[in-house]
Formats: sequence, C-alpha cells, structure tokens
Amino acid sequence: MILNDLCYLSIGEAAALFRERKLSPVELVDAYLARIGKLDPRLNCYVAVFRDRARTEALRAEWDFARGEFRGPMHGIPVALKDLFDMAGLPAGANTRVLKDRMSTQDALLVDKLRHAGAILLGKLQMHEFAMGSPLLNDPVPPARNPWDLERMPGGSSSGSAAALAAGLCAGSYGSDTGGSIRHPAAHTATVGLKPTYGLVSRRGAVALTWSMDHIGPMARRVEDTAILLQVVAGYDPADPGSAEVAIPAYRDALGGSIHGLRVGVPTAYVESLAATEVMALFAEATKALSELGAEVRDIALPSIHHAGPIFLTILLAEAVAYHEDWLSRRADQYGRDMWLRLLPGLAFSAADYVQAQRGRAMLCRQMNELMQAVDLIATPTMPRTAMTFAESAAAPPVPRSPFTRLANITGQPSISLPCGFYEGLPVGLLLTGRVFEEARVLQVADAYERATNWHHRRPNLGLN
Amino acid sequence: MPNGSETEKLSEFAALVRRSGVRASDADLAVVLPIFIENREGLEKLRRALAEDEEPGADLASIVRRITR
Repeated sequence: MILNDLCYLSIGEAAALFRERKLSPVELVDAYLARIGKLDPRLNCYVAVFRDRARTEALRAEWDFARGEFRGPMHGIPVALKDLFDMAGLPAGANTRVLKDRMSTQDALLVDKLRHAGAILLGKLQMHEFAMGSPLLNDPVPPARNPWDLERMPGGSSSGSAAALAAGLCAGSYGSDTGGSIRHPAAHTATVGLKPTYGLVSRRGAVALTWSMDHIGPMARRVEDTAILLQVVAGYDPADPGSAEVAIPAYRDALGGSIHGLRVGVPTAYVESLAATEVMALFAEATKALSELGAEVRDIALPSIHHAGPIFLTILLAEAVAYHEDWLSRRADQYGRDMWLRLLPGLAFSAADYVQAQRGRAMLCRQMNELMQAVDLIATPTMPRTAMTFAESAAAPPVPRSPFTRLANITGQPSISLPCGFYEGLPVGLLLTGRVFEEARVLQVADAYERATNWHHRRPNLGLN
Repeated sequence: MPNGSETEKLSEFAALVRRSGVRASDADLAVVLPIFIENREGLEKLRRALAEDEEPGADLASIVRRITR
C-alpha cells in the first residue's frame, strides 16, 4: 500500500489489517509521522507531536498483536487530541497565553480511556483560544489552515482536529463543542463530527468554556469511525457533575441497517432564511437522498427558534465570564483580541438576564421534546455558508457563527455533521440532530447517507496524494 | 464615531462592563456594543414570551432538586 494511502485508512480498516497481521501499528504511526513532517509546516494542525512516545506505544501494540492480544478496534490506532485535554506533565494550552504556565498534573478521563483501549496518541492539535476566540493569521501561534484551501479557516474551535483529519494527519480525534465547535469545522473540512448528548462523555480534565453547554465528542473521516471513537469514551463519571447514568449501547451495531420509515423533519423556512443559495441546493440534494433511502422527510416548524440566539449567547457568555472573571481583571493583556472582545458583552449581563435565559432554555427544551415525538431526526445544513477566508473572519463581528448547531447545545441533543457536497471546491456539511441519548439512531442515519454517497472519498490536493 | 444616542448607549454599556472591575477601552466596547444591544432586545422579546409560558422556571427547579437529592 502507498504510504499516503495508509494515512487515509478508516479506523475499522486499519483494525482489520492489524488483526490479519497485514499492517503493523509501527508502520502506520511512521506513515503518519512522515506525513505530519511533510505537511504540517504548511497546515499548522499540531501544537505538539509525540514522536518518540507514539513510536514506543506502537511497538508495544505490535508486541501485543504478536502475542495474539487485541484489545478492540482502537488498539494501535493513532489519534490526536484538541489541546484542551489534560495530559500529565504537559501544558494544557487551550491556545492561550493566559494558561501558559499551567502544567497538567493528571490525565483527562478521556486520555485514560484511550490508553486503556490501546490507542496511540500522536499529539495535541491546534484550536481557537479557550474554544471560542477566532484566530488571526498573525497570531503568535499560527492558526490551523483548511486543507481544501489554505487561505481559508477550517472552522472552529476544534480547528486542528478537523484539518488534521482532512489532511490525513491522524486517524481520529476528539474535540469539544459548546455552540458547534466539533460540527462547524467538520462541515468546513468534509469530515465527520458528533456532539453527543449532554452528559454522555465526561469532561473531567478538559478546559471549560460554559459548563452547562460544554460537550466532548469524536471527530473522524467516516461515520463508522465516529461510532468506534464514541464507544471508547462514553459512560458515567461521578467526577463530572453533568455526567449521566445511562446504559451505553453498541454504537457500531446500529450501522448498516435500513432507515425506511424513519421520520426526518426539515425546518425549511428557517433554513432558507439563513443558508446561502449554494448550501441550500446541496442540502436539498441531501434530503432527497435520505428520502430515496426510505426516510419520510417532512417539513416542520422549529418552536421558539427565534429565541435561541439570545438564550444561547446569554448563557454562553455569562458562564464564560464567571470562569474567566479573575483572569479578565488581572491578565487582560494576555487574551487574544477576538477572545477578549467576545467576552466583553458578558460582563454587562445581569443576574436576571442569565435566569431568564435559563427559563427560556427550559421552554425551548420542552417544546423540542414535544416536536421530537413527531419526528426521529431534524436535518439542516451544518453551516449557512462555506469556509471563510482568514481576512473575512478578521473583519466579521466577534460573535458565534453557527446558528444551526447551537440549538443542540441548548437542548443537549445528539447532533452529527457529515459531508454532503462541495461548492467551488469547498465542503458543505449536513447536520442531523436526534433525541437525547439516541446517538445510535443519529449514527445509523448518517451512516446510511454516507454509504449512498461518495463525498467521504474525496481528498484535498496537498501535493502528496 | 457613534452619534448622540449611541454615545449614551456606549456610556451605559461601559459602566456595566467596568462595574466588574475589568478595564476595557471605549474603542473595544464600541466594537461589541451592537452585539450587546441586539442580545438585550432579544432577551426583552424572550421575557415577553416567558410571561405567557405555562412552566416558567422549570429548569431552575430541577437545579434545586439536584441539590436536595
């Protein structure tokens, strides 16, 4: 197999080759390290590459396989993490000078679980400051670039994760999502990102942004890989106050089945009011494909959706300001310009504003629960437009830019983005949102759509393919 | 430059922000003032909707249930 093809194997394919002893984890890790060495100086996906550690872990996996010991589909798989997960002895950077002296003393629970599963950690990936502040090209640490067009942003805040997956620089990743930070970059890079139900994946050892809307979730190139990555990290954690005690199904088992008769709601008027024409056209093709697969696609109205903006922004900034309060007073000069500007309105909110927003959230959740009795999933585009250039982003107002994704952060519902086409060479994402704790159904429908299309086979032209 | 009414709004916004002890420049506050105003208008509409809602404060009650569990 050609070296660069190895780097685009799915996790399922690599695991099968390991079992058949047709591929060694050392071979795979070396292929990724070589590709990172060639491409990352242009893409800036990684903030740290664990070359020696990754090779040692790969050798250990190879010895395990030689003894016939296979711990599961993640054993020997090279993954990389958004730089907000604690790893003992390393800085948890969150791409901010505010935390430059903070050294992690323990691993995040997610890191522990990955190690137990035998995954190999290739490194830590670039992100937006504190998972919110949008980067500039002249930042001290250069921002990750979009592999489909290096002058464009890959989206964020899990920018490095999505860009690395699209460029074939890791097999899987994990990000955080408070308003769309997993799904937004997935859409702009033709990769897959799942924000699970609130409480399904522990946030212990991850830098916070907004406690009541922060989620941790998997990012991958294929829906099946997303299911595998979710399986490893889902589960109750008493140390995370938001964690939920629920049974964890076998997510991969949900894939491959028929979606005949499943009801998919499309809030057409709402989508049309926000999405660009070219995005709307590709989204219409995607819902047509779902219909051809047997799903019952119907038009719906999203209740109180016009209240979602102020509910989201008030909760986002009020909690973020509470988290940052001390640093904002004492270390103002250490914030990047965009992050600093984004936080300022939160300082002017009143206690009553926050309470009203939480009451509005309760109202929205109740109405969405009622709506989800009539449909199994809701479909929208992930983003209203294709990826911005860095210049466009720098000129845009310092506010969240993901109106379609934020709803699931307010209600806690599972929501996945996967590629549904390209416009002028730039990816567009399809967003599927399900009932709480019904990740299996969301993955099932996403997998059925992926199997019926070929968007996931496209690769950006980086001069090495 | 902001006009008279906008200057008033900026002063009000600046006072709210600086009450927190955070030193923000007028130039920075002027950039995000429209975001604050738009959000405040959105919250006002939300308040009116909540006044007609059947179960105001349901989510807050669940927080108390968690404490007493």
